[in-house]
Amino acid sequence: MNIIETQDLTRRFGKTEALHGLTLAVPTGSVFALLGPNGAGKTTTLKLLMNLLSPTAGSATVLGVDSRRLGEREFAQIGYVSEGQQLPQWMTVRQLLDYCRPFYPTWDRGLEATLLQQFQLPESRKLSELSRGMLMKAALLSSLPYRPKLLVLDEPFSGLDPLVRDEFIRGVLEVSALGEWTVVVSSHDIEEVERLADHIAMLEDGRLALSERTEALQARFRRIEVTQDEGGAVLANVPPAWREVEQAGRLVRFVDTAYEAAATERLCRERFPSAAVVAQPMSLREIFIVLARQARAKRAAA
Amino acid sequence: MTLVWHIVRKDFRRMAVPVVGWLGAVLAATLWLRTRRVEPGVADLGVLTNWIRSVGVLANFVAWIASAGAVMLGGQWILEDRVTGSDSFWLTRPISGRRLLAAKVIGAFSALVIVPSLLLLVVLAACGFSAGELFGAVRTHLCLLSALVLVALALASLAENLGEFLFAALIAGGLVFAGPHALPPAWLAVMGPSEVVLGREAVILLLPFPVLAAVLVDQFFTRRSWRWWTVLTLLAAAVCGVRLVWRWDLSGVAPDVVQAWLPEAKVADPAAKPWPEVRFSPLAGDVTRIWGETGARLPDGTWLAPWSSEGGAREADGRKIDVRLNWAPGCGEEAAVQEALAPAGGAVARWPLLVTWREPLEPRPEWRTVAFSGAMRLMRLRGAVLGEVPLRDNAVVARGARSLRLVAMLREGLLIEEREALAGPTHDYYVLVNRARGTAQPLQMRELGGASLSGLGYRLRLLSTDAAPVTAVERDGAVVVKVRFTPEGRFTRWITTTAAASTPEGKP
Repeated sequence: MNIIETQDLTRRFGKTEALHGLTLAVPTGSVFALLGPNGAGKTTTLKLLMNLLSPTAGSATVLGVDSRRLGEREFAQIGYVSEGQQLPQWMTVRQLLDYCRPFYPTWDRGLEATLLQQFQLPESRKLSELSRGMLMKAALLSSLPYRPKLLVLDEPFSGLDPLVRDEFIRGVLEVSALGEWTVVVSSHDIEEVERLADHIAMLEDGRLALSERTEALQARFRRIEVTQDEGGAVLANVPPAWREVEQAGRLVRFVDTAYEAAATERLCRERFPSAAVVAQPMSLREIFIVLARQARAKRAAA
Repeated sequence: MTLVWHIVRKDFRRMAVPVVGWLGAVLAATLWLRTRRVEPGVADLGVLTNWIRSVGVLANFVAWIASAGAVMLGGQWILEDRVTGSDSFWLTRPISGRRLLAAKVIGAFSALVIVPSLLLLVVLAACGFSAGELFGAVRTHLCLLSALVLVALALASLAENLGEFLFAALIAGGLVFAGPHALPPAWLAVMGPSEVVLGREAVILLLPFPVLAAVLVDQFFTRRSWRWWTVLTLLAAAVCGVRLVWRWDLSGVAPDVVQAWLPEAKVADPAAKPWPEVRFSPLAGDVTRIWGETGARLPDGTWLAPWSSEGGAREADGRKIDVRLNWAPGCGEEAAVQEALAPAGGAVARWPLLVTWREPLEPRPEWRTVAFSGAMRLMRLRGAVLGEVPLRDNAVVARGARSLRLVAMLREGLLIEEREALAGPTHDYYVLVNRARGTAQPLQMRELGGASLSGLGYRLRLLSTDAAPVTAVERDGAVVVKVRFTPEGRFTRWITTTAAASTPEGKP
């Protein structure tokens, strides 16, 4: 069951195509990370999903409803926090909560009190007087007490110092553990997302580069180091899944994008019969960089 | 509805300080104007004129600030929850456009129209205005503020930020100021009280308001950008406006005025609408003058005044020439007053009429055969004596908050100070009446200056006779009677020329 589905979702701004034919599914209950460099189309995607922008082509459904038809009923089940969102700065934290509460029939005052204590926000301080990190926490705080089925976070870590980031991530993780919530988070900060996401999608120039479970992604990417005893390596006709192949003396390095222990071992033995093969797990950040380079090379070739 | 009030309360909390500041400033200025008065003994007309002008400038400035404040606050009311763009807080909350629109309209109109009008009602009532005057002042105030707030809400619903809103408001303000210069004079003549002007032009001139209301409503459902609306407006202007503008005649901006006297001009039966038989000579230039009279008697105390007109002329060869008719200002008023005051028999209304040809005319022999026909819209005015003040320094006649004070009898004339609630277009006349002698002498009125604010009017006028200053003998037992004519209705008459005699000097 998917809480979000898109089909050939496209958005143009004048002659610029910010998003091209995005087809994506976000499973219900997942923590889904939308990754990509600046300008990749992450914010545009989320704004299209929230009906803040209209698609030029294609369609999207959120909570089973066409994104262009999202109304009060759907938004009562959605929490949206964005770094660019204009909060009513003249309100205090308490006033913000008091203002938001009546709009949500499922608002849980107990949870509100818990989160307020957990986030350590000064209730009587105006939002305009809060730091950037506190402001993001206030926005998150106003989006959680009604237990949204879908929590959408657009670049929530931008400009936050490490301590606040950590608190923020812990906050999200804690609330996501409270129930069957789906969290969609966009970021260009891969290391932070790595701790959060169980699903990853990567956007590159408005196009979807990949979308799969984090575990599966990390399982199929390995940095392989082959150390040969003697002689030169046979680097011709390497499998297409081997990327960034480089050789330095007797050492051959590459990234296997379809790692499977036995199969990779066999393929290495065919080319380097007497070599020592070491497979090292890769972080999301490393995987992201490999994919970005690959996309750039493709563009250059095109 | 509960949630609508929840949003309204939020906006009230947000806007309370600026709204209270705005209201306080306007009401303080109104009360200040209420206390203005000319001190007894002031005899220098130049000083008085400068003083009343400075009061007028200040009152105009406050009125401008009040209007600008209403627009700014109205815009801010919407920009608090911006409609366009994609970053507004409410867009991802369970708040529908319908609900937010209702809250914004209720909140903005309550705070910026209803509350100020009620406060004004209280202030003016405390000043002693009568119920009728209060109704008139508050109605005017309501209409003005409603128009301003509607424009502000509509423009703000198109703007993504305060800068865009201010730019749009400046453009709109520019259009309002430029309008009288760009519109044909015949259109401007229809700007007046609704009971007098409900013609086609008035409907077109008022059209922007329902259009703006439609834009406001649509924006809360579609959230279109101002670019979209600009394109739509330009298209509409291209389709509808160009033809209209094309027909506007701007050739008469600085006409070469030549007058002709047509003694036989008369009002024809509206049903017959005949073309004239008579020829006349328009002489050189593109403006001529017609003097006519209704030939019909009016009820006691009423007077006919011209409001607007349109007409045409036809040459001997049958070619029709469009002409524009402008009323010559300031003619026949004294006669009308005297006739309206006549105890019986009613009045014969007379009017002067300037005829402007739509196309420049070169002197040609065949013009002698040109004949004229046209329709005139006339106002029926009803006169009433507002009060009489004895002819002595500092004499006052007051009814409620309305007062008429004879400040001084200067060499130049009688200086009077008036304070009243603002009404629609009116015609005030003054007659020097001496009942003991059985005489009534119309007085010429010269406006020295005035100020108006929030329904309160204050002005200084100088009354004089055609002849020498009012003598001591005439003063004895004399009173100045103020007569006010107010519009009662409008009707149209066809006029035809039946003679061609002309007097180039323009004198009957």
